[in-house]
Amino acid sequence: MPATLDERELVRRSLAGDREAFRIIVLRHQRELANTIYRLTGDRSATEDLVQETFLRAYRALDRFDPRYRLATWLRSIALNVTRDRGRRERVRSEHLPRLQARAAAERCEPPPPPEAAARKEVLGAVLDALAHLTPEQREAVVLSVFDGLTQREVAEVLGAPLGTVKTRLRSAYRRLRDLVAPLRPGGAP
Amino acid sequence: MKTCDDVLDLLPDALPFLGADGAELRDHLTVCAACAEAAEAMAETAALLRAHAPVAPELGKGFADRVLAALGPTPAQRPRPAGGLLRAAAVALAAFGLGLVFGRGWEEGFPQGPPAPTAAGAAPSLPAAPATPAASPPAPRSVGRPVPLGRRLGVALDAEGDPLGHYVRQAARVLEALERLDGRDAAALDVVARHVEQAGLLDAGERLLLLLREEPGSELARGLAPLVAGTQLVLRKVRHARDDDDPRRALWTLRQEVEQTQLLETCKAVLALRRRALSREPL
Repeated sequence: MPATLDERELVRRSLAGDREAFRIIVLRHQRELANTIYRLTGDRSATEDLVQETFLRAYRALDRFDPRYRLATWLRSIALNVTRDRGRRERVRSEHLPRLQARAAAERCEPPPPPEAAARKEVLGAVLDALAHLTPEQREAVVLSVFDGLTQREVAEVLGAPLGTVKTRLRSAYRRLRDLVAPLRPGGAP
Repeated sequence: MKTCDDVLDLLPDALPFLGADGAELRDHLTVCAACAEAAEAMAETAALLRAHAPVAPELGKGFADRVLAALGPTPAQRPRPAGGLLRAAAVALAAFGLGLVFGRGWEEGFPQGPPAPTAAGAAPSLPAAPATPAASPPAPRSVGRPVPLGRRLGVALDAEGDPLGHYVRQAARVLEALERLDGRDAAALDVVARHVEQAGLLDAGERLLLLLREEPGSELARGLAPLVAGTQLVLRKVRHARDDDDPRRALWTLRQEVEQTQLLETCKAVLALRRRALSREPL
């Protein structure tokens, strides 16, 4: 099957029972969804399961996909719901911050990695730490806007939130992040 | 001229273009020190985060294969409750003289066992079942002529007390609960879904369907199989609706299907016929 098929055709074929068409959808989007989910949860071990759950939900709901939207946008909104559900199930929201902080600290305290790797880990810990200090709603907006490069309108679409709400969340998130990203500045200066 | 508020609203989208585009924004930023500072801070923050974006671990080898292996039937392949079919089933129940067959079948083929377990505490907020056999007097046995009910089906249904009555009652409770749910309340939908799981309704329905399908010659089976199949589909959808990315829309669709297929009315009719048969009222 040509891997260049457009997404509407892939969806149509998937709905007709063509699993190879759905495989192409998975291959095209798995990486971006994994990144989005990882940045939202900070949990390496859960990422793969959550990506898989996203695709399974998408498949079950494929007949409700509205081709006026981009498939990537639709899949992201499902990924967000999967992540939120996981949060609700495991009460991650209340535990998220300390756990991420602990993970970031652990990554900083792990035994002697090579200097470059250690620096990378420290930076990663700082980014996750900064994200963990945001509210879940702010974190979602930042991940979609800053890392995924979505416009605020697209973020609103994915989140199913009013545009004004998204703008407010982003503004307040940026205010909080300003100090939180200090360790990322060259030399870690505030 | 844009206000500071306008500019701050636009900044997140405009950050990548401030250097080459966004003339109007730049005009404002050149005359407004506060916004210029906010823009600079925002741009720096975004740049730092992007430069150090956390990257997810590689997905395991064969990830796509695992996803494909876990897929169920496509949405298009999934059977849907057909309104016509279920309405026809309701009519068929009457046309085949369900009351007579069902009532006597119950009297002869399904002696009253102990009340079926109802998953106590599973879903306390669900409405009461439309009919409860406990309120009915015990059925007299060996009355009337033999009913056209397969021996195997009769024996199997007998074996565990009152599985059919239990199933129809519980299914009716779920359908009633769906009608009353506040569609905006995801927790309420969760209560119903948990009830479906904890009462083991899907398994009970599958067992019933197997029995009914093994008896294609039985009028009872022909009449009841569409009802059980239809309720099974709804029960499955309740669970999916809870997990759906848009539970409100899923619940709305579900209610439409229940209404169009008259499933609840059919369940109630079956329970009423059974109750009347057990109390030996004239049908």
